[in-house]
Amino acid sequence: MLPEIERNNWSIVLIGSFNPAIFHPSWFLVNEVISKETAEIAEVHVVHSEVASVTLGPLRLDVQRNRFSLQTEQSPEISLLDFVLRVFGDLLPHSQITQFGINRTVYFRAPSSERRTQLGRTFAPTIPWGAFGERIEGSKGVTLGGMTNVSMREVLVEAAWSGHCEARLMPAYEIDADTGIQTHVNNHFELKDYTEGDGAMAALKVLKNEFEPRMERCEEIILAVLGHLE
Amino acid sequence: MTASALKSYGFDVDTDEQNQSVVRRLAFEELAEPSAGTRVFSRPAVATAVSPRPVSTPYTFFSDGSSLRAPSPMGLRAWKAIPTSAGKTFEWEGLVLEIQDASFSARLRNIKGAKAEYDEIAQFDLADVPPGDRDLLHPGGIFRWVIGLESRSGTRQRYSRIVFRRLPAWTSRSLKKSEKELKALVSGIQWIKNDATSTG
Amino acid sequence: MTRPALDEVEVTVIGPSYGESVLVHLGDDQWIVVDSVTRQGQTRPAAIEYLHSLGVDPQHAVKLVVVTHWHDDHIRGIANTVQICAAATVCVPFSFTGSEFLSFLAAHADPLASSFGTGVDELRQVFETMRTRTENRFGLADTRLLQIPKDAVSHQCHTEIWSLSPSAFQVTESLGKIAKLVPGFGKTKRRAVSTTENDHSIALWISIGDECILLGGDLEETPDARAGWSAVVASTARPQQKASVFKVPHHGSKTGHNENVWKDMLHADPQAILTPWNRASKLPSPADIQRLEAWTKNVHLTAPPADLARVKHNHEVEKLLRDFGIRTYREPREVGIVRARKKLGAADWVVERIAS
Repeated sequence: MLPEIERNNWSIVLIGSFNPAIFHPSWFLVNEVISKETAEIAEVHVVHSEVASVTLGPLRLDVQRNRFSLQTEQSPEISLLDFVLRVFGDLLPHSQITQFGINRTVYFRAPSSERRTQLGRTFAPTIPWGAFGERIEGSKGVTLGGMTNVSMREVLVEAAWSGHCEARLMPAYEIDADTGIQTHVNNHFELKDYTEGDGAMAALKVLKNEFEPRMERCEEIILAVLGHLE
Repeated sequence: MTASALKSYGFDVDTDEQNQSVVRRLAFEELAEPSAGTRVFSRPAVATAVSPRPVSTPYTFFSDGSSLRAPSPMGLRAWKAIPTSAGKTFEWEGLVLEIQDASFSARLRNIKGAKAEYDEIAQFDLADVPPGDRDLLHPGGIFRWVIGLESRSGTRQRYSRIVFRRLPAWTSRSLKKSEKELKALVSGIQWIKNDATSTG
Repeated sequence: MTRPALDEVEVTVIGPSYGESVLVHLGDDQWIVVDSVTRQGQTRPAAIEYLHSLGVDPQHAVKLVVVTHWHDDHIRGIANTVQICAAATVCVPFSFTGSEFLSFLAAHADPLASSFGTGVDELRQVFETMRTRTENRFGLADTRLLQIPKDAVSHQCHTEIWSLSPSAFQVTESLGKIAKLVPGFGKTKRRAVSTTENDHSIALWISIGDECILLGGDLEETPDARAGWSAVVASTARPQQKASVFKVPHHGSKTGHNENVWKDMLHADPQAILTPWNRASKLPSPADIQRLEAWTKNVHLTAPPADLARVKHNHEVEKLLRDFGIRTYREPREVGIVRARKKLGAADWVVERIAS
């Protein structure tokens, strides 16, 4: 049996040029991006010309002048895509978006600390490290050492964009100091030949086509990792 | 986004708890999403959230040579306890077919967890639609139906959730453009003139 | 399956529990296709599959493809059908050329970010194919769509196909209703869904010598005698013979019924073929069957108006669904087919139901 995912996080991050000051729940409500019900429970942490941070029901939005980040921990994650398409496709099509990321992070536990260590050894063997690796291999108890972080990158190139899919594996002390693990997958896209007049549409076109396939790819990677703990 | 940067914008971070919380949250987020081309930055003061007891947290090393310290467990617990999807979720895309008095029927296509080569049909209570989404409940409306487990502050419960998709809206510009294109398309069709003489 | 003889007429109605398509063999390996349906999980139109199963090449054999109206239970796979039937004249309702309909279609032109599509994606593709053809027709009351002189066929029977509807009045009415379906600015996009009324459906009359066939499409009766079946029956410009095969309109519902059709346009005891409709409401109802049986003893359903089959998921899903009191159903796998064949000059039709 695969370990159960205890916490999920999905996000879309856009890199470009934004005006944080407009992203207030009332603006989203007036433009029917969110429902009245969501607007009523929305929380404004800060909305300022340089930074905005608001919670809109299950969505959390953090915006700086060059970065727009939308995340959720609740299914369906398609709500992220719909939100971004609505905001930048309908309302702010002239916003510059040059890069974006489709991300997923999961947190789970290994059945035991030994299994977590074993997972670390699988993804980052000690043998190639020579004597250093031998010492780590022989460590135990409070001196137990091993992999703290490993990432793998798949380079992606298409006609309109280039980017990568990068998966990262590391302990998750916030879940459990001895058994917690997190896996993060970042699908990064950079538009080719972007000019200022292009606005948001070039990025949105790619995002719309890639969102669900990339989320499936994230799932595939996460299952591959989880499979080692079966 | 560092505390000092926020201060430079006029926010009081030292004494304002809410702004401290913002900084911690943004810091954690940068850890969780070192994505979309931004390199993760080393963070001297920010990553360490205020913690009641010292916790030794390891450094994390990234491929660009930067490093950062993971937030202490207190960082996550400082998040609001919003439910998080846990375990396996099963998700369908739904299309509203007919709306009756207290229910509506929908065609369903599985997206996750129970893929099939056929569509399914189901009846849902109107009460299952969040009040805020009722304006989207029309024949032809698209929604996602998700069932599974969610965890809130350590407690797990089963859930069934209908979320209507707020797809891009119709705009005057796009409607006019589409209409123009379609009329041009149809005007290029060659029609045979019909003759209407009955022979029987 | 064997193909019909050169002098054999065939009317084949394909109707799973949601969707309908009709094929007619005119003789000499010449066919027409009316509307389109696909099997669950398949993309190839059922009519094309059927022709292939007989060893018939639809690219050359199909002479006419008719789209009776835009409801999605009649147009699934129609774009593919039109494209494959490269030698066919395409006929669409006259209302498809109205600016209100084009506005409605244009509103749904952009693909939705949903696997369900816009609901009318196929029609745009049909128009694109029609642009590449030199002979396209629109269906309107009392209009001859196809004529094959008797000398051009081995069975020596003059063949004609007529569109009996929609009437000009009906076109105006239906365009007025479609105009109301054009969405307003700022509203969240949704899929186009069929309205409950079939205001502009084409009904077809086919005559091969003395043999006549009435294909009712989804044409419904209306209170106004200038539209619906009343207008068809009252017309003096339509063919005035009587048919021996009747594709019953609108799944046998009472809204598709007009007793004067049975009295004035059909022989006694015609072969009445109909397709079911399985949704929250089911057609035909037992009362509908009873009504039809009062008019003919030869009622044939392509598939039973059975309940949808309950879907059995895996244990995890079933447990969750049970907790929330939700059940999901699926349409029957079977694609129901009723085929009626008759040699020209023979006394009786041979009708069989083919399960596939």
